[in-house]
Amino acid sequence: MSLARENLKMTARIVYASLIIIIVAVIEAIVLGHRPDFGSCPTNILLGVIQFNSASTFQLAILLLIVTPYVLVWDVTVEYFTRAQWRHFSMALAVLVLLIAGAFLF
Amino acid sequence: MNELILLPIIGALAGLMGVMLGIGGGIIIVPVLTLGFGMTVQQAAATSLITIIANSTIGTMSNIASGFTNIRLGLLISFAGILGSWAGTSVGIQTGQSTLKLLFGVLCIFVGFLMLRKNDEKDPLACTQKHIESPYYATYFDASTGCDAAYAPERVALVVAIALSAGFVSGLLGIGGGIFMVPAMAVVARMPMKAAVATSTFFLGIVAAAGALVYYRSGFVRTDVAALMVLGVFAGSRFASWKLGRVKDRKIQIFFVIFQICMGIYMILREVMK
Repeated sequence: MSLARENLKMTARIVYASLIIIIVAVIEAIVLGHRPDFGSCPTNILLGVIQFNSASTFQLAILLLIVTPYVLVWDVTVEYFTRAQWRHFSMALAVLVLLIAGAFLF
Repeated sequence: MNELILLPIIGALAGLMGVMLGIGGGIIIVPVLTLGFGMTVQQAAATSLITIIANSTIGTMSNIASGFTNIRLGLLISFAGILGSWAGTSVGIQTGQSTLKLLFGVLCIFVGFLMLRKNDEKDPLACTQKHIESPYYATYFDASTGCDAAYAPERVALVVAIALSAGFVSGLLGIGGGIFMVPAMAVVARMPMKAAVATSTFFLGIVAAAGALVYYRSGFVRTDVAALMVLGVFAGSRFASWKLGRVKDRKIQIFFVIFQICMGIYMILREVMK
């Protein structure tokens, strides 16, 4: 059983969004030059992005890329396991979520 | 300005080599960034993991659409890989530069010899419609035979153990781990090569993301460098898949092996001579 490419819409959107954001950051870096970023806290990243700070824009793109595989897992499981054996794998998914949460805590 | 041009070019070369030789870009990116750009091994590993995420996600999207990825097995080994990766990154962050460079040098030589021994990929699977009782049973359409191919991975527990170790090495040194996972699934689990490569690609992205997250939190990710390399890797791998495909020419493989072994020896000697 295979999934069609259109089932992975969310993943595709995030991948291409991050690539576009990287290009925007490169243009910002060339046009406006290097400025120190505002830090890696999400609020500061967004603050930097709206002020056209390339360092913050790069950070936003990288954060998007880091979460992409988990979005892919979400896309796959939602489309695949709801039709097949969702109950068998919901426990495994819960473990995955706990592991991801663990990465933030430790 | 130099970095703006050089980094995407290196990324593109890594992406090209990745597709042409069937390896992850990490084994090329980490030594180039440490030796050529003066980055620490941790920074280079973190950057490499980001590029692996991009490469893996794009590859997995088309593999899933083709039905090659064994999603159930992929998720199971990813859990093990995530745990291994966290252990690897935690150790990597606290390990000295010299030790990491020596380890990477040894890994480069090991990968070089492993590629020398690499046999031609032959799909051992016969065309079958038979259902095999296994939670990891999967099928995909094999264009070469023109019918659905079915298989059930064997010795899954051993593959999970290898995934744990591959995750550890991935987190520690910033490589994808496909060099371990593809043989594990093809030889140990006796999966068809197409399914082994596709499931390994799925695994790499999830495991690299786990490691990258820890490195990001610890401040080792040079986001500008990583982003520029991602652009290059994306362009290089797309171009290679579109125009070149997998290289059958043994000469190019041998050139890569020599390059890899020389780089490994250079990294080791540089650290030993200090």
